[in-house]
Amino acid sequence: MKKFLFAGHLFSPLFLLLIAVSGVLRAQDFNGRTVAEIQYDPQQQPIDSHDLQDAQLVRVGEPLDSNQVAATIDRLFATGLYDDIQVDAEPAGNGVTLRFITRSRRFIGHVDVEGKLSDPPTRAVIASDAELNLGTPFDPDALNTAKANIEQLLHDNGLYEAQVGTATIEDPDTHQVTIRFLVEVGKRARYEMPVIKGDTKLSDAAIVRATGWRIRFIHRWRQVTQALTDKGTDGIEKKYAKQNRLTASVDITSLDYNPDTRRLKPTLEINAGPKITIKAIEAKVRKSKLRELVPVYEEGSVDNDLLFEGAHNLRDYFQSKGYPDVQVDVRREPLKNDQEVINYYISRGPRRKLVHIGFVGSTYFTETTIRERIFLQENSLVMRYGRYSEIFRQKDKEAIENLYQANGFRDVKVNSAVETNYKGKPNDIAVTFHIDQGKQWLVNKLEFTGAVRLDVAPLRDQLASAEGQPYADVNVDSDRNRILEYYYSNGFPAASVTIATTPGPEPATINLTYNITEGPREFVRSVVVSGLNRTRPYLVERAINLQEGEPISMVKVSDISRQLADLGIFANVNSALQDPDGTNRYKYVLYDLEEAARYSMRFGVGLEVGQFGGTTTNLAQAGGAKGISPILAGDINRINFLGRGETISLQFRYSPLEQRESLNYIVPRFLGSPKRTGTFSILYDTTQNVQTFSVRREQASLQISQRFNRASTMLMRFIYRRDAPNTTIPALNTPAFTSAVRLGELSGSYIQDHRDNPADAHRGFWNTVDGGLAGNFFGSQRNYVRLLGRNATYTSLGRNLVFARQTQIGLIKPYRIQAGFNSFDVIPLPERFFGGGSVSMRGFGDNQAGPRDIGTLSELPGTPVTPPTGFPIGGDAIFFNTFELRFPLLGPNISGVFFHDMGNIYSTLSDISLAYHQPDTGFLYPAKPATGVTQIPIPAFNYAVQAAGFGIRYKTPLGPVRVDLAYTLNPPRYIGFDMNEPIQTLIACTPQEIGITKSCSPIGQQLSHFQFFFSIGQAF
Amino acid sequence: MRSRLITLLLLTGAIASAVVIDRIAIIIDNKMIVKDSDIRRDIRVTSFLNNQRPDLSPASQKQAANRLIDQIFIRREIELGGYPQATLQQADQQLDSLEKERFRSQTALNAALRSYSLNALDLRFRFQWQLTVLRFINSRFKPAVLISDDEIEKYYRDHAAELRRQFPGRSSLNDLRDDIRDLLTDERVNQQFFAWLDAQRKDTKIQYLEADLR
Repeated sequence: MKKFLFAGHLFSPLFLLLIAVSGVLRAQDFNGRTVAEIQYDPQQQPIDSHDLQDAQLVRVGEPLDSNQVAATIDRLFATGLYDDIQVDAEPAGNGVTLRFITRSRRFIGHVDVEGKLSDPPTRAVIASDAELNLGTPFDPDALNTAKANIEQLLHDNGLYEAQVGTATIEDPDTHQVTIRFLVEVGKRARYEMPVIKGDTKLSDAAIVRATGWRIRFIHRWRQVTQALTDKGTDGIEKKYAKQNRLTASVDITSLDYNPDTRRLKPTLEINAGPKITIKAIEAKVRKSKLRELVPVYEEGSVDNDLLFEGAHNLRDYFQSKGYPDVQVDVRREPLKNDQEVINYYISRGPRRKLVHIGFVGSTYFTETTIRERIFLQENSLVMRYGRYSEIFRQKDKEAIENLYQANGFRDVKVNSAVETNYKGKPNDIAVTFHIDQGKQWLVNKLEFTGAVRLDVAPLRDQLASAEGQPYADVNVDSDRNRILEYYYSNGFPAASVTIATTPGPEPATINLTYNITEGPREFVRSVVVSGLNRTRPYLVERAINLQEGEPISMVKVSDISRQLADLGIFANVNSALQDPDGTNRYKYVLYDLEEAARYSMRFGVGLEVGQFGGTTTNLAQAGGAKGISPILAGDINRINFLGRGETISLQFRYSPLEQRESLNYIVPRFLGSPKRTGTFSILYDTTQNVQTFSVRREQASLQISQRFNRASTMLMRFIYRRDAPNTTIPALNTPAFTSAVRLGELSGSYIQDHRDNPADAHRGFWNTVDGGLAGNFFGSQRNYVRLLGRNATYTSLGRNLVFARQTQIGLIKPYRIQAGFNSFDVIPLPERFFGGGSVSMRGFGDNQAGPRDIGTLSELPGTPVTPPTGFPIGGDAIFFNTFELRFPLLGPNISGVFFHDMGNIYSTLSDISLAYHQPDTGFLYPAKPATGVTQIPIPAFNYAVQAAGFGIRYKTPLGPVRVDLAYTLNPPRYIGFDMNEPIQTLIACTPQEIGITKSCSPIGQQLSHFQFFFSIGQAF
Repeated sequence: MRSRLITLLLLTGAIASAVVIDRIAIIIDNKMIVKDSDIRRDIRVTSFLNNQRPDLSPASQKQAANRLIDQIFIRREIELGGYPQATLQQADQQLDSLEKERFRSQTALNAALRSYSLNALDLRFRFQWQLTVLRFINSRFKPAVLISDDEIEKYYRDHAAELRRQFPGRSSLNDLRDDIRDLLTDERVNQQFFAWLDAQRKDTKIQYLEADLR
């Protein structure tokens, strides 16, 4: 027999009595009794102990007041941390024990999407469509809405078989809920022949073609995606737009999915509308310009507002082209035969030049200061008619007023007058701005009120308004923002500032008061990080320098987000406060991270055009021959290796001139500093970018990059490499030059970059110093020091001109030269300075500057034992200087450059010379006058080559596209072959044949006076 | 048998001694609450003003809870829209009238209030709130109500007898036009006000933590 607890006793008199007793005890019966104890159930409350102390108004030892209990419930709930609060009371002797029975509110944490997905949609898009915002209260109903949103998103992308499940995990300490959406996408539907309704004026086949929903030629329907569905309707609208049916409307009224065939049938409701022709009458306007200026094209509808807007735009356009008297009228012709014509009648009037802009009444600002702020521009070489339109004139009036008002001239009035027939010339106009400055108002007294918990004294220096300085509304607004930023940064998210002004004691003076309402101060309770799967937590923790109890600065919280994003291992970094609207002062700061994909790959192909050719194929092209070299390049990166935030990168580049593979291990925040990066690399490279030789290079290196500030960076590196050069130039074909050599070099660079825009600088300077030491103590087979410095400056001359200059100087100096070497051959060919080309010295082709091969002379003035080939052989010193004048040429995107490049590569530092004329060695070639062959002086190369030229720059988002044409005033002469003899024939020349036999006789030549370069980016 | 009795005594003792003195009864949009104590106070104040005994039955509590929910909607709208609110001084005039009409002295009023577990401040707040709501209704709904002459004429035709009783001595349409306009305006304002409350209720998430109040 079952036994029940109350069986047989439920209605006993004793029980009824006890129930009756219990009914007698009510809330008011406890009022006034002393509170003996206050308990919380559960004991661990979601609220911080500081906030609990503030919220709890009932106190142990004090009489119970039910109003205080009610107020405590209100306060606790207002924190936003509770879903339910109940207060029980229980007699305790003569007093009462209170128990707060609570249920904590939960908050949205990390949102994860699991399962094998089919892109689109991506995981990030699915998570975003869930619309679950980090740190906001978690509502199970919202989870159902999120699930429905995701299902809809998947359906929109043709994934009608998709199943979405949800799972949640709550952190009992922080009450953050991790939400997991488990998605099984199933197979994607394909489109099928749509139902087409309405007045289409196009065949169904043409409409289907325009949608792009079916693959052309093979007629297979494509898989459904939301983007393709949208593109389909856009495609139809574009098709109509091409037929000038600008008001066509295309709507998808339904998308019907057939689960048996997995096909989606769209229903299209189309109204083609009439053909609309927009014409410019009496003045020529390019069709593309008309499309740009008449908004009917963009809006896809025709109404009077849009037509008048088009008329205004056309008027402004013609005025800016020098037709200030232009009149534009629009007339809409009646619809006829499915055709509507809209005519813009443009009466341009005479073309006028804005020849003068004057300013009258301005004493406070110079004319230059005002001119910098206006749109109107007088005619010039660049702008033949100047720039004038009524809109510009109006804007300039406002700009001048703003300038004065910002400097305390509150009552300034600016008027402008246009004078035609200026100085008797009928087509010249002048604009005069009449400026009535009025009085300059000054701040007499600046005060703060309401700043209680924060010292605002440090703010005074940062404000735009100051006692004795001009009073301006714009300054006051800026000050308000500065004060609020200061408060927000110090944990006062609800701070507000109002401004009060009263007249000062003197005329035109103002007493200014900033009234601050600080509001509550919020503090960091703790930091909660979510979303880490593979990443080691320490990596994130060391980036988050928030301490428990410190005031919350949302500026700092955002900065940390940016630093986390800069680690490069997260696809998304989201930060928030838990329950930001709650009244609790101690809040959790949340960082939710989405780890990026582990692998990334990039591949590219390109074409290099330049002065190629080389000793391996032809000794007759010492000055270089034009060539084309295809390039295949790419990299494969494994980011966040072992969860440590480090990256392994395999990079490659293949072209006929260079084959390179490198493996890099990149350690950001090297040795704990966020501004330090370590890179370990191994490299295998075969290159022939200097046509004199090829080199196979095997290299291992360690580089540490330390950034000091935005502009200054230092690089320290140790490189150990093996160079194996190869050359067929007879004079260089000796063991000293062609033997493989091991080099160990410790080097460093210091870079100071104060350019305003590195891609196209207008102001600032750029300095680099690079030095290296190679020695046998580093395992090097050669001993030398290397130093290279560069200084570039950029100066704005007026509004549009930039004067830029750059000087480079460098040297390589051998020391402790080993036996068997001399100072010339101890530096391996690949380590020497080579120069010339678009970024060093435009008087030369690529790497054509400096000393060249003059063969080997034996027992001078005896017989040369190897023929001179004239190929560049590099030098141990470098000096280049460049001047550039950069100016606007055509419109805002095309600019021009005049440049002068000067300098050369020199044999040694002491050989650096600024001489204009190329010197001779003093020897003659061939050295045997008895042969009857005309002798040529053998040239030396240590002189300064000078080149001047002109360039054009076209501004693009990647930087300016550059074309330079240089004329070299004094290109070097050299002795070299000019015949296409087989190379083996030339090499096989015996000393007796050199200079005698025709095929073994180099002749005097000279590098071209003209050089042409095409590249991206400024020269420096 | 004895042990069962002891268990029973302990259990019933526990039931008897722990009393819920207050709790959250309703949560509105996760932001605002109605507590048991708010409901009880509302019943007591309403009963006092109606000169009735407080009725704390479930039905009465449910009615009070609904009143309080409506008040929350109004309060929220007043804050959002920056509508003017009555002051406690204005409420004092109502309190004085009550004192004069129903009680001979302040002492008698206070004694009566004590019997309802209320104090003067509870009444002042209630009067202040009533005035605020009236102002809110006038500012929020009245300006949008326009009564046409046709509607006035129709009302006159349909309610001629009733109007004669209500306004003796004035029987023509022109005599009663302004009164009818006021009547119709009040009616329309009431309709709009209650429609607005219904709409608020539909658009708001209301969680009843006590099922009886639903």
